[in-house]
Amino acid sequence: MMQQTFEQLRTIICGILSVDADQVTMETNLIEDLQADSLDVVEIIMQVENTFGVEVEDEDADKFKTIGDVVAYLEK
Amino acid sequence: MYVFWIARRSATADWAPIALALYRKWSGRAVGELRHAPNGRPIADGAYISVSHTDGMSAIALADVPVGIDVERKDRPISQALGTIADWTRKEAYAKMRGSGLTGQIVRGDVPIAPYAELDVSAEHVATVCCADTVRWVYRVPEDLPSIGSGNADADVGIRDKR
Repeated sequence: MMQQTFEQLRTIICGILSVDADQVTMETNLIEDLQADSLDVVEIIMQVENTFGVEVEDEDADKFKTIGDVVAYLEK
Repeated sequence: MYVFWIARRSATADWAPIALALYRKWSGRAVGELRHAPNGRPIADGAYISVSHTDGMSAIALADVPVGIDVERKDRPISQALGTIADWTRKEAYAKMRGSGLTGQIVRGDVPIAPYAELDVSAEHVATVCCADTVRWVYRVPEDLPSIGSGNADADVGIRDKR
């Protein structure tokens, strides 16, 4: 379910970036809105892989700009 | 070959042009004026430039071959699977030197990191510079950047031999 996926992802992001849940929406851009740097992004992707049991390839990770992009990837 | 680098606790907007001017003067090379790539990265004809910003510190490296620099706080949390923060700065500096971004291979440590030098930035920070050639000399400019044209640039450049 997309809402559940979003909420799990939001929890991961809030934990790593130390932001509040209300700062994270589907349109939120990890780098521009939340000031994630490359280490943050790698940590997020690692937790996404562990939580959702996926292996994110480089070319997929490169396309992740917003939370919505990651949710769309996980829903596939 | 040599790498010229500067680290500052508070980077003002004009410190990149000053760093470039110092590099031009110190290296004696014909390096063009500072420009900015679409993503904001500083570039100049005749020099390779890399910048890094983290909590409380900014760093810039200049060389005549591809170069990458990364600075981080030593106490920044990092997952055990990724190694130490020092390991991370090596991977980042390497990725920036390659211009490839952090690929999965680099992050997993599957790729040998190019010759690199660890930089003594501050008590709280760790930094690595990575070059497309063996780093023989690393020049570090102290905290108080001399102004352009003051004529003191040579006297203020400290020379350290790092392999």
